[in-house]
Amino acid sequence: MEHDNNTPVFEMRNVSKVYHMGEVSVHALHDVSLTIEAGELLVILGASGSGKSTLLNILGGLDVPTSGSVLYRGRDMTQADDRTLTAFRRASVGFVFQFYNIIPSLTAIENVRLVTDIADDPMDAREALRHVGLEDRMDHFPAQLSGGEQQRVAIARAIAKRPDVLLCDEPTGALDFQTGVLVLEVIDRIHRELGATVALITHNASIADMADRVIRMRSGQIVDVYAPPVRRTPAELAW
Amino acid sequence: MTALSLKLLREIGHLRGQLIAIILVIGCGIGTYVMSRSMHASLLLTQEAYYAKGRYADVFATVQRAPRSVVGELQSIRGVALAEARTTSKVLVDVPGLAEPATATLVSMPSDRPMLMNDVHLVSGRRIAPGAFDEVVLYAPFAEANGLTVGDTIAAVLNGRWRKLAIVGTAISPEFVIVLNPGTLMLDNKRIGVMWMAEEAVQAAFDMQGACNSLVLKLYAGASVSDVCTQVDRVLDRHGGWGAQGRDDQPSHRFLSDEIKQLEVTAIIIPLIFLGVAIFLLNIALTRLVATQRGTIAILKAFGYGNIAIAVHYVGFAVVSVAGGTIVGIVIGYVLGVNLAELYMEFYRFPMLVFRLPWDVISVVVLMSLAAAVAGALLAVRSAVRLPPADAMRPPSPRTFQAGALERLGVAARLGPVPLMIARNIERRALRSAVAIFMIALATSILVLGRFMFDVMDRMLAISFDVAQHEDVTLTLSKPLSGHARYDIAQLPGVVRVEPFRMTAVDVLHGRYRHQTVMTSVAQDQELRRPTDVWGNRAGIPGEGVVLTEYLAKKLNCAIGDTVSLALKEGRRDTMRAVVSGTVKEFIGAQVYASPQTMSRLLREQGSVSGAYLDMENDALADFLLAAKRTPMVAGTLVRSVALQSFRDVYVQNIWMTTTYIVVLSCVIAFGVVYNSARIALSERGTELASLRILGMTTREISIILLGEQAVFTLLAIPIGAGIGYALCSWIVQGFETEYLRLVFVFSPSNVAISASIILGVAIMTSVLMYRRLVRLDLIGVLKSRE
Repeated sequence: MEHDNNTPVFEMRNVSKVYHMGEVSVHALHDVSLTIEAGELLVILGASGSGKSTLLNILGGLDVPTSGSVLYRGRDMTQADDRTLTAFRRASVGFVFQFYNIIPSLTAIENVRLVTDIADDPMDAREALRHVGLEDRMDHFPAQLSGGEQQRVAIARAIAKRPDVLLCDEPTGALDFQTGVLVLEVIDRIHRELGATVALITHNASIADMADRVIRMRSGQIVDVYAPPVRRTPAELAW
Repeated sequence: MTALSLKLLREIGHLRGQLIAIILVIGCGIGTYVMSRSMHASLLLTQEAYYAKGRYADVFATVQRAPRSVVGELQSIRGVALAEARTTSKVLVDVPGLAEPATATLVSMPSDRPMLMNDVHLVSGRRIAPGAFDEVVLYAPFAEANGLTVGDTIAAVLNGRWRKLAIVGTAISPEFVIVLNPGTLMLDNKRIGVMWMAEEAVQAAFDMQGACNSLVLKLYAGASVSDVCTQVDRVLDRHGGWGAQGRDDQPSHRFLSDEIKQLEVTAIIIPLIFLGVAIFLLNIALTRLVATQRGTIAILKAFGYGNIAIAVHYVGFAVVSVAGGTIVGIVIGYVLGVNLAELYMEFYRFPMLVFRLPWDVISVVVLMSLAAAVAGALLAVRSAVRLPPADAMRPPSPRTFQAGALERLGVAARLGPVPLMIARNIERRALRSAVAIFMIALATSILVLGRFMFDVMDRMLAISFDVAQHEDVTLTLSKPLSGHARYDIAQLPGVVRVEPFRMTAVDVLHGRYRHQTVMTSVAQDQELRRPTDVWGNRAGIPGEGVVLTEYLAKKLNCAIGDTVSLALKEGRRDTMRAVVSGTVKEFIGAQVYASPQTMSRLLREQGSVSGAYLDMENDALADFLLAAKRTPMVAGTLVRSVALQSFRDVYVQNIWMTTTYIVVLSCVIAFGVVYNSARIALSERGTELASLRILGMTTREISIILLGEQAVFTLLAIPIGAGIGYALCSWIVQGFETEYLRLVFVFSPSNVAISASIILGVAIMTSVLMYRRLVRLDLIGVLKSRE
């Protein structure tokens, strides 16, 4: 997909999100403004309940803000309907989940084909798996793969459509340290090789050091935005 | 209320869709059972009560003419409690407004006291006044069908003379619960009736003073009917006895008993299918529930709840479903049972209805369902409580899929991911899928079975009224006349072609088997009416020997080539021997056919006729019937189109009712299975589907994954169901053989198409319900949790 690289990928202006749960209103996001530039690797850091997932959901077109506006490549997504959001996710967003969410009844390559079948200009499913180092395991079913391998299948599935944005929700949350590093290396390489904009949410502060920019959230607000003084590779991270 | 009970209640609320589907299916199963069994029990009880009230006789004997004193002799036979003499005759009745003459059985009744046996139950008016010679009590269904009421008069030919008779009452009697048209063996209350008249009046009209031609006997409990019949025959032989018979040979009793017996079949098959489906649904729903509650079970165990407490908690779901199903079932069963019993009561004109819910049967069914449900629940709970709490708290590892038949056969390589998901899910849960397919197939089979009865009736009507019969009218004479009568008949207005026949009452005997029926002649060149088998082939009647309806041959245990004895009931009342030269599998009746030559030889007479099949000019029917009414030699006329109509009126309506009921039930089953199956698939794979939505698939695309599986089940189930349905049909056809009716296996593509459409319709409706759930799928929740 061709984009003007001078236009920010996302522009959020004064975004608030209020959930009504019975008689209680929960302010998940409160007046958040944020711009994400093309090709950036952004880490959104925050404790549980800080609003980082809500932010990611709104960016990924899974949710719409209660107030404020969200622009994707200059297009207003604030009041988009389900059809528009589905088309947006289908064409432009790659998702990586904490619990991988790959389909147990499909092999690694079939899981990737699930996405390449509906994408406009996908890469070959094998190539996607090669990117994550799973070319030898592509005919394995999820039950035959380790957690890290399953997460890599999920990443391959996310990148196979050549997404403009890769959104990763706690991608290492269910993994041990070593496997986690391996997965982060894959994400880092994809970011570099494919030039995708990556937003990665985590509660693990150590991961922030691999980002171009870090956004720290608390109680639904951005409390800090900074570029790490030294950008580290995932291999150099420790937690 | 304990916290665990609260949890149970809330989750029941949460699972209400599935529970309602299960409760409906269990309810329909128990309901059908309760309905059919209660109706069966009630009809039997009502029949018994009616017979007891009217003192229905145990043995019936007819005789040419016997002195009334013979009653004393009969009463002295061992086992006989009571005997009563009466006079009966078939008479022609002119009903105002009815074109053709009607036929009635005239029965004498004492005017000074109730009849000792077979007493009438007055529906309106009064009994005959003592000494009244021109009063009759009319069979109520006949009166009603013809719009006759107390105070009207009718004319009847008594012993060759027209008489005007005043209707003083209408009544029913246990002896005539059903009055069949002897020509068609079908119900025809408009043209076939019964009339009761004062004893003295009947005796005077038929010159039977001091004599009788019919005797009825009541036996002591435990007396042997056949022994008494033998003794009665011995006594009556010298008076021209035509053979005594037990109740079982009485047309009305036999017809009624056959019908009640048939109800038993429906009372077993259909409810069993329902219960089977219900138990399956309950089982998979509970297994799924327990599987989703692994974590909860672990927490309960960690808190110190014992395995038994946990098991009891989950068994609660089974108990609630069965309890709900039982309540629904008993209500459905009771309401339908009472309604249907009332319909039967109306149809059979029972004066009362003894409705009874067979609680013993209900308890057994409920206990069976409960046992099956509890067993299903326990099985599911067992695997959960076995897990150590720590293991149970971890999410289960991904469901194990591995290369299987699909890969080995190379099918997988050619399928896209979505069809592959569908195929692998079916393959991996082969047993559950097979059971789901089987259940939908059962629903289809019930539909096929229901429609099958229509097809059989259509075939029967087509063959009986189009192939076998081409005559416009069948005319019967009041007594056999010489062959010249055919020329007199030909003179009646509008008659184009006359094909005379000879018909005589006969007892067919073979070894120890005996059957009372009629023997009819069929001439070589006879065209208007020929015995025709159920497949529409006209039977050839050889010059020598007799041809029997296949049912009769079976009943007499004889085959082609055997010799049977024919005890004739007229003329010299000889017993002749004849070789069975053929059998014909007919739809209706059990009779004997012979060539005119064989008839003449057996009857020792020359070409006499009892009636004729007539081909009529168009539009001449009214004139003909008017003339026939005024011709004393004519005992009755049967118009083919009228017979066909009256048949349709009675049977088609009955079948419609049953079929509607069957369609509703099948839809409930199909809905229950498809909905539950899809609902469970959704709860198992909600995360998968929501993930795919996040990845950019539309609701329509993910619904193909979920509903595709149900579509495959439904599409596979339909041909299997049609197969099972037709297997059941063929089984029923084999089992269904009464003296009056046989069925034949009819395969009809339209039946399969209609049944398939109904099942598909239900599946599509269910899919729409599921689609609405898919639209509301929680995408964000998926990012948060594993399940």
